[in-house]
Amino acid sequence: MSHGDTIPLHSSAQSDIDEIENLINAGSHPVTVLPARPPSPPRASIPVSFVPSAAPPSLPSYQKVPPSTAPPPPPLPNAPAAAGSRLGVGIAADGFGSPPDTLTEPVLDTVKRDLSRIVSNLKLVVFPNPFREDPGKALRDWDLWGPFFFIIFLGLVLSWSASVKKSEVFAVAFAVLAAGAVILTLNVLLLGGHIIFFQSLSLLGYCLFPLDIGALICMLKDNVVIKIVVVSITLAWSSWAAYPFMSAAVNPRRKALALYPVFLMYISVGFLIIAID
Amino acid sequence: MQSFTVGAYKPYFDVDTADVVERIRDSLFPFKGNFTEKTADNPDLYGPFWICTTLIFVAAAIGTFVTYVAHKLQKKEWDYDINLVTWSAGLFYGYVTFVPLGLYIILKYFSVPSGLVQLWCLYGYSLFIFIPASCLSIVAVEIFRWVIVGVAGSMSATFVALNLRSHIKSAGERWFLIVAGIFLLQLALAVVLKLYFFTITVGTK
Repeated sequence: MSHGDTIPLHSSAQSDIDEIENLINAGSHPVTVLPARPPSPPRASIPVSFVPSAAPPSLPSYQKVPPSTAPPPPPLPNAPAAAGSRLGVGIAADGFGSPPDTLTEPVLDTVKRDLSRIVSNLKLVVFPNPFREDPGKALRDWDLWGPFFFIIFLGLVLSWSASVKKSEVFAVAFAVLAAGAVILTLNVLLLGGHIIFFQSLSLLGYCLFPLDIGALICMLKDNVVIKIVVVSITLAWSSWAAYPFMSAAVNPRRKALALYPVFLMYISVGFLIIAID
Repeated sequence: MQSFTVGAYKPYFDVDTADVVERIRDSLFPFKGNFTEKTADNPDLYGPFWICTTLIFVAAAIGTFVTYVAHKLQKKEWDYDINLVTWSAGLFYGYVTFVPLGLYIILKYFSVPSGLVQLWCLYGYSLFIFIPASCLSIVAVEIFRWVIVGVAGSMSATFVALNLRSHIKSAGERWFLIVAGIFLLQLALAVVLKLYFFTITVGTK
């Protein structure tokens, strides 16, 4: 059935018809079973849009999607079904699920999607969960928004807590954290470890979350003893969160060499939190 | 372009935890003099870089703590001095980067070339002794601090000088000047460390 014969009433109707046709024609072909979760969308590439020819003519023929909103899976239950039907039966347009039309969606949707990804990554990294021992599984859908927010937030809180030289404090905190994350990743790579650069940056950024909470509490409560206690607890929490990922990445004989700098960075940040008053 | 890849520097990080611990332990015994032979074929840059970084942090942390205690004891106002961190970073990283570089050039001039990475390795590990010395400088007695710094400085300087001695001896009559220069530089670093971080002048801020 050619597309030129009929003019569909709705842009998705044509693809529905195609899909039903294919299902009828497929017959004995088994639908391929796909993994429960589609692989992470390629971040650097420009995705080719699946918009059928009946799409509104005002849109360009391909859409360049900004990296942060590259077509990620919509809320999880729908994704397997949409991806499965899309790839298994080979239709040229997605009839089910939301179209990868992220350029024209409301801003609130984009923000909500990014926020939910940040929250899910946070839960994977910082809180206990069964995937922790396997770094490949745990942070497959890494992003850099979360780490960015956490670093800026920590810098801001430290800057607010300082009574003098506020901007210098922010600058030092930001520089130490950002450069520290890069240097820690390079350290693992140089020691012969296997880690993906941006995934590691993302991970180290998410592990800052407990220290953010600690810094916030220390800003509100100015007692030195409370500060020390709070910072020690959050420091231990951050190190515990980062431990499995970093130690799994290198040769076991070099584990301590990879972990010590992480510990050093978090201790120095903790010290900065205690000292600023 | 090759020097901008990670792979180009991997050979300098080819050490295990046990190797690094052993090298650090060797740096604490300056009179053995066999550090350079041991590390001749596998000098690493991991030790120097992270010892330097740890020293920066420890010096800044303890220096801050010491000024805090001194100010509180005299009931004076105290503000955290963020410049401690930045200046100490500049001092230590600069020292470990440029002094071996200068020594390399001088040794080349005297036709007794030594590998640059070996020199960096040597100088980096020689700084390790300052970490426990900084920790001990918490004690608020001036004389004790000077003694500690003096001991650490001379141990560190002896470590560097002895390990290069056999190498430098073949430089001709000037070898004594070179060794003395190395020694003095290391002692100067120790003195600067003491004066900048562990000398408290309350009320001059």
